Amino acid sequence: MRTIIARISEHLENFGEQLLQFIPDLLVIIIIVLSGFIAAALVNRLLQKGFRAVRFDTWSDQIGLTTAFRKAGITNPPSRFIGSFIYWFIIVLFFVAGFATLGFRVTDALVSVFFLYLPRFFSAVIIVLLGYFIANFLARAVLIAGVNSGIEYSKALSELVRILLLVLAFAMALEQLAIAPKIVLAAFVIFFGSIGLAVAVAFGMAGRSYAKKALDFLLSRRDGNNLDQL
Amino acid sequence: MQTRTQTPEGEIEASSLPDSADIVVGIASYNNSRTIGHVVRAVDAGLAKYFPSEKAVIINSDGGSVDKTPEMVINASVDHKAVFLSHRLHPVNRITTPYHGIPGKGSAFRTIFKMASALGAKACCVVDADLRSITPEWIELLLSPVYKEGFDFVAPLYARHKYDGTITNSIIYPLTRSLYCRKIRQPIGGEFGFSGEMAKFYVGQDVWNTDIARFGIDIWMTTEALAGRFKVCQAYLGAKIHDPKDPGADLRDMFVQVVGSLMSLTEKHNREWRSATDSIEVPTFGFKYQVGVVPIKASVEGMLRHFRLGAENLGEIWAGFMDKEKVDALARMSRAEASGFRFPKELWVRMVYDYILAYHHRKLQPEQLLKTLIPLYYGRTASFFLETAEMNDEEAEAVVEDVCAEYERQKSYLVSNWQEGGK
Repeated sequence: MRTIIARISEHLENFGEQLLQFIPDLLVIIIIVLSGFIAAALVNRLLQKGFRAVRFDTWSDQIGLTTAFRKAGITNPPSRFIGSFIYWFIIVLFFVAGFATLGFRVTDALVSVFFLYLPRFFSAVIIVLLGYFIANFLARAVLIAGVNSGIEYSKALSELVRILLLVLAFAMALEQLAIAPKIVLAAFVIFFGSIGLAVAVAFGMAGRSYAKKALDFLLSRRDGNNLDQL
Repeated sequence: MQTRTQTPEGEIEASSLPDSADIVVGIASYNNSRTIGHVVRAVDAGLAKYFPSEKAVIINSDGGSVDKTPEMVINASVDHKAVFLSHRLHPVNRITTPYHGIPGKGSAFRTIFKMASALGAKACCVVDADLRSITPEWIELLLSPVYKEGFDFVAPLYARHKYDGTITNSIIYPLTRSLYCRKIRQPIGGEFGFSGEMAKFYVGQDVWNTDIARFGIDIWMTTEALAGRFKVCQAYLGAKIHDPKDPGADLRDMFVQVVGSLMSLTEKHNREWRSATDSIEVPTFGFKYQVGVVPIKASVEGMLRHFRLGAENLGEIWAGFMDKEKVDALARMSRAEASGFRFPKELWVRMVYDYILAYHHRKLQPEQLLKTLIPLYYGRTASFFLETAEMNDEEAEAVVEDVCAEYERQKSYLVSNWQEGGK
């Protein structure tokens, strides 16, 4: 019985010593995390000021970012959403930095993976955002040009352009994130190849007369257009 | 004996220019060999008849014609005896030169402005190279108000068929009149008279890399004259008949360039037009007479088809800067029978103002925004054609005046939403 009690007290003493040794590390983590909250709040405030100065929300309206966010269920203005995203990102960053101070092998490995993955993550985000803007802009351009050229299926054409460009952007982002790159590449090739084949077959077989009509229409437009004598 | 000069490609050689000139007549051209000979002869005869003792220069600013247009300018000759004219005191110099910069009418005019300034001209005018109805009297009518009456800018006034000039009638004239409060009937007529000072003012502006260097030049010249409070008048020239437009030219681009230039000028001169109220007549020179005009044929069905296609597809874009009620009204109109189709002027005017506000508040990329106006313009034009089908030209003109009055009535909407941010 005595031996058991002695072993327990020995373990408790060891745990106590280890706990005492860990307290400074814990304090360091708490300080780092608290600094993270302060830094995040500061950066967020500066960002909001900057966004207001450059009228970021108005610009977002123009390029369709606000609409895109609304469609994705984000009702806050884009400036506030981006501010919040960066706020929480900084906090996560400080959390990770705090755990790195422990010097454990596991945390060290996690921290390395985290920091190594960051550039890929940001590249992917930028690719998706750029892809979204370009897809919207070009889809709208196709829609307007189609309508002004008298093409009945302008909307379908515009949606096709939007979907193709979004698929392209997502495939590029996934490749950047190194998520099953071979599968993504194969899926991508199959997707675009199928579309090309489908269009060729449709035009060659079912849509021959329509293609002829479309070409006749386009060529006839070159012979005259009575929009206005200014 | 006339001096005739053809400048080589590249810079205009100072040695090939006369020292000075009282009068400069500019002709912008691009592949106009069929008509430019007639234009030069009319100008030459006009100068001989009405300005016999003034030093005059004809400048042809050419956009790289491949049909010998410059040669036609140099070689066109007038038999002065046949038109009862005596020899001039000073010969009329003819200069033909290529212009530089963005290809377009505006860049061609820039070269004319530059040369007129360099020559110290007192009065200048520009005429289109594709005119078939120009007479020597046009030169007197465009130049005399400047040379003899002290005006700075002369806009043309033509007799036109009721269906001719639909962009002018539905947008450019009413809007210019409503904004700058002076009734210039043909703000984008193509023929203008202006003083040497005005030419210097034009050449000093930094606009030559914009649409103003293309088809935006006419509205720019008129608007700058109006907004700058220059002395402005108009001259009645009779009927304007010109060669058919180049079939290769995309007229939608022309629409975008003209309306886009008008909108960018609305931005620039917002202080001037926001404080201006009640439009007034401007002095009009020339003898008004009845003249047969070339009837314009257009397919109302085709215009309606374009409008309907727009209404079916562009509603989402329009909703970005217009009230939902207006977009719904357009959708309802697009389903109406062709015979009973009407695009009310009140709705049309409000939409044009919405477009100006959307342009100002950058609701959409400018070119895309302007192109979405084209189907609406087709709709309004089809409605005008149907409304005035049984009317003569004078009665149709009264309808245009009604539209102008509507623009003026609703101007407060534009003024009050200019700062607020629109929809």
